[in-house]
Amino acid sequence: MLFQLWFILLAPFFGFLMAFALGKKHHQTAAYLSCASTFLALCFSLWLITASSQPLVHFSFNWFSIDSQSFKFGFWLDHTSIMMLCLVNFIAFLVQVYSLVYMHDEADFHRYFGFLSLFTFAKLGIVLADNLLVLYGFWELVGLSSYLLIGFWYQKPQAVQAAKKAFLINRIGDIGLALGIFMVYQKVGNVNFESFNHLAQTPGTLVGLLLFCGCVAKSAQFPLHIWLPDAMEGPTPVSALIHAATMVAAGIFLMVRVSPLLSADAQLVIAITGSITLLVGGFFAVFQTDIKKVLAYSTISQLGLMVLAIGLGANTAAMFHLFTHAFFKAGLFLCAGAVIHSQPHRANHNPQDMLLMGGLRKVLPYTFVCFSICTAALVGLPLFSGYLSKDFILGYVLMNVSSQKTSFWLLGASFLSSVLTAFYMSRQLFLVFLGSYRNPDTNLNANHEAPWLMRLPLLLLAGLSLGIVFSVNPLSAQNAWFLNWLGLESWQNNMELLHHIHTAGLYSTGLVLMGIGLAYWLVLVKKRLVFNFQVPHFLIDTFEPLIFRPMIALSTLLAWIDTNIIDFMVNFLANLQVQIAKTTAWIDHNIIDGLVNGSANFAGWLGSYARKIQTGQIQLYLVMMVLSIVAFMLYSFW
Amino acid sequence: MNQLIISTLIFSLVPFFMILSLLIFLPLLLAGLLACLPDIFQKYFKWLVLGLGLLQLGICSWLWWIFDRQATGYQFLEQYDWINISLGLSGKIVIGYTLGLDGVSLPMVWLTALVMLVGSLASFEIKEKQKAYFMLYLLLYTSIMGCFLALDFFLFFLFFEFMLLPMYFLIGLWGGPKREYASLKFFIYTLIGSIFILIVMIGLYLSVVNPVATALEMGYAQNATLVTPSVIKNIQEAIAHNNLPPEALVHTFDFRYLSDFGNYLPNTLLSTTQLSLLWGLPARYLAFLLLFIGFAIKLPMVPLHTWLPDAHVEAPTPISVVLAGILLKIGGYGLLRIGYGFFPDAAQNYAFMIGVLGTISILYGAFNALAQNDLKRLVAYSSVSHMGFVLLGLAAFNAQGMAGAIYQLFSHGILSAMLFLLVGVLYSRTHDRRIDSYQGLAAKMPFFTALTAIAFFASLGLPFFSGFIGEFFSLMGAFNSLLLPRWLAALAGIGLVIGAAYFLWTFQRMFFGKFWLRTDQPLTDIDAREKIMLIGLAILAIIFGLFPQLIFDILNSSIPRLLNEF
Repeated sequence: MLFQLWFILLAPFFGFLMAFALGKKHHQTAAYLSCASTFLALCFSLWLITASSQPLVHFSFNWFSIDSQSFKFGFWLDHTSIMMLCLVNFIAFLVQVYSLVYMHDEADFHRYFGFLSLFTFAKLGIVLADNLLVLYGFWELVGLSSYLLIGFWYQKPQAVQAAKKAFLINRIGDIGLALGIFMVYQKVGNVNFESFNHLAQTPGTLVGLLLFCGCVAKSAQFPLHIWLPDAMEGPTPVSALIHAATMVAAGIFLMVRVSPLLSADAQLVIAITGSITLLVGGFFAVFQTDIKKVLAYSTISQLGLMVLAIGLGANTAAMFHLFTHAFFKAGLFLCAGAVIHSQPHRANHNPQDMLLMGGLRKVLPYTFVCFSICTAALVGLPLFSGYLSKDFILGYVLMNVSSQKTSFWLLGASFLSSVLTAFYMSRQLFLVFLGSYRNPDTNLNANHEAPWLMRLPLLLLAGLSLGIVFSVNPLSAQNAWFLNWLGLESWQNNMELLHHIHTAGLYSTGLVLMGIGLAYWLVLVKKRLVFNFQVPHFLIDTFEPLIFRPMIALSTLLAWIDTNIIDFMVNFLANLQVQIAKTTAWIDHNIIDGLVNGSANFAGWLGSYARKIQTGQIQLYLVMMVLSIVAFMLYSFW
Repeated sequence: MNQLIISTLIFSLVPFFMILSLLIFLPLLLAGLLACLPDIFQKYFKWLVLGLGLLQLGICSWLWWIFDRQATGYQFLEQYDWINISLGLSGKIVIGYTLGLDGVSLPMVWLTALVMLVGSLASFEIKEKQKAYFMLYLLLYTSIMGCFLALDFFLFFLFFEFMLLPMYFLIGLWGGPKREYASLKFFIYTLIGSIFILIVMIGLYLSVVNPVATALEMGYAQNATLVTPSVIKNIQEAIAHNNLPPEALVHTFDFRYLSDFGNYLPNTLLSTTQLSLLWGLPARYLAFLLLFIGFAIKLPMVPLHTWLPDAHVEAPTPISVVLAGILLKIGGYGLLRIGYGFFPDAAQNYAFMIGVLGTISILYGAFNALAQNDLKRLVAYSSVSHMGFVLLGLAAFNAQGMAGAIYQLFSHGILSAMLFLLVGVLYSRTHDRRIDSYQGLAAKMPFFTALTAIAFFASLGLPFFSGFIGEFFSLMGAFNSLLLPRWLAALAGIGLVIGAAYFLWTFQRMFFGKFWLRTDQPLTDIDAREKIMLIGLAILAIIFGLFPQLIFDILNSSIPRLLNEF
């Protein structure tokens, strides 16, 4: 078992190394090698599902020790991590296959595949880690690889900017996570996941909130969600990878892992953050005209839903949604990639602008079908996978609200977001595939369906978005094998929850249909493509005005202080010393030496007068002698 | 077993008791040799120095290997009386030539050998006055080694001071346009710090006696080997009760005795029982503050840091490498060994102040780095920021903080050397260090770009690089410290974000976008010599990031001793 785990973890890393070892010359080989390594890792991961007779593998060794405290490196394999392993490797493999065609004309083909492998490696590390320290290591590695991939087209200023932004915002969250780990270490005594399950009580709200900071940044929760839409500057398959499996899912996974540490207050904060994100993402998605940005905001919104579930303690529901969402969101992104790929490549033509599309279903039938299926799954129509997982979460919300454990507002937020999701997704579907072609520069037939190697992943992902894949009865999550497999036994007998799930399904289906109808009426009947109201820019991009510019301003100020105050003081002191030295030199020369010279001069001056008396005339001497005697006598007789 | 055989083999070649002296004086010997060699051999000088660097690194690695991980005391001791003055009624003063290694100094010594080796490779580009240059370089080597190996305060101070001389000339003669200003500033700044240290040294000498030598003087034992712990205990009791005749007291500068409170004469200025105040402070607190300032200048700590950017900007590449790679470490090492070692009570009292100053250094240095347009200044300020983590970790007074701080010292030695080499690569090609003179280098110099990316990401504390362990555990120690408030470490954590910001922003401005160069110089990717240095350091950064046990293993025997003193 251990060998397989090491293999799964290191196979993508090997792909990464090989990509750079082979270099530009053999970039095709490098790409195939990295696909092959991911495929092998996928096979091993799938094998784990069948082979895991024992529910859990835990292996660790001493990584290093400080004083007598030991920090371990190890693997923790339970059903959640097996699912994640399969998911990550599966999506990564599809994305790599897809990229073989999509990125074919790139000069730095090998670099791209190397970074993809690194990304997969980092995420697999997070999934396998058995303690928070190791998880944190891979966590930051995910940040690094996202930086490298988002900024893959480094000649493009926006891409580089977006990459930097993603990394920095993730760093902010990482600080919180790191502080959280410190605190866990202090309160629990170690950072191993195993020990979290045996705690008598949660180690305080602050711990949970600090750990949640990591999730807020990585899983794009409000207010640190701002990096995710910009990350669309990277190649589209990368977006699929980031949004589906590797990056944003990490935050959810982390919260599931540390859920025993969350206190009730922390859970409340998490739930509220999740529901705000849910609404913010959905709201912003409505106004987008870029095909990828809609999907980006939709991801933010869906992640909000998962975080909400975690806040309610519904970890399994969150994982379930994470899982279904990974498939249909990857599908949607890859479909979007196919659409972008089909667009004519010209200067001054934005191939991602939905306003220049329309009616593409005629020329891209495969993509259309796949996109529709994935959309249906995302909005949560019955028979599709999204229906199962989303209404599972909604059922939880409903149950908590009806038992008055949480506020009514959470319910309102989640149902409102159902309408919003249905609206913006069907608006996108209608804008891109229905109606008439709106690009005045070319005609519709200039667009071509992508080659088979790209279509295959789409079909697979669309197939996996069907509800039947996850549950024998696609209308109810009750029999979902996935949930059973994750080992949540109690809920099936929880009639109250089941009841609420069914109610939620009923309501949300109605709401979804309403949203779709609204979109149909607006886009196809009223032909309203752009809204009069647009979200102000400062609301969307809070990074520049709130973080980056103050940072630069402060740095300029401090640099000014450094040269003009601190260094000025130093130089001033040095100059002062020189001036004091000069003054002492002056004193030495003019006063001390002046006294010496002055007394000598005075003696000389006195001498010059005394000299005048010595004339050599006897008469004068006699007169002076007489005068002296007179004076002396006068003095003594006075 | 195997280890034993090889060890004995090498022992037979080199007298074992001289191994540390060898480390110190081999460079000096070579400097003497260079002085005698006529100028026609000039082209071989760099190879000789390089060979010496390899030999020294070999010796240090070997010491690393045979270092006893279990022993808590100093190892490879060399101990001779050097200066022995009888002061009549006030006893005797003995200055020892004492060398030794423990878990704290061994990584530093190894780092010295490494950085000096890299520096000697980087010195290949020095073309003028090679003889003088390499002689001064070797003098510098000797004095740095001496600093880390000395176990006698007087000896330490000697090496510490002597270091200024070669450094002054190396910056002042081979430096950039403002070299006179920079070298003088460096010299005076450090000299001021040294004076503070000197004052404390004299105070310590007045207070501390060597119990072993005093026992011999008193006739408690016939020779030093017979001085058992119980004899020492007797002597210390006698010291505590002031029962010893003053003429029998042997004053000492030995580190091992200075860190033991039992050896402090009561009613002297720096004794632990001394209650009188100097300017409102106990003398020991004052002494600690003086030491702190002295070493903080070297570290450097904000606001005593302004010599560093100037010295770096003006120094030639290899000297920048040495300056950032090891010279700064002496500040941290001295603070730990001397400041913390002899005045743990005072250090603990000032933990909050040290933590605050560390945090200020972290943030202030990082913000200043963000504002720089000169690459070398940027790296210099990043050093200030990274050294702040050392202070923060030391302020924590727990195992994680202490280990993190020492790891940070070590890791920064590797990474800052790498950063300055990278700047040197560009500067040697274009003679331009301004960030805004470059754009889109990634397209033109892919190899250089990759190595810069590694250095930048390692420096901003990416896990699995050496920088991470140091920063993470310094912060962890500070966050969980009983002496520091939690918000302090949280504030210092912001330094990590800004650290990422200035590195990434620089990377973005210089390497990304369309290729553009202000000067019209031909730009070639790095050559073989540069590759060896940079790749070697990159590999080391990864090795020490993946296997921190390499250092902690050695450190763990010394950390409890350091902590027990508090």
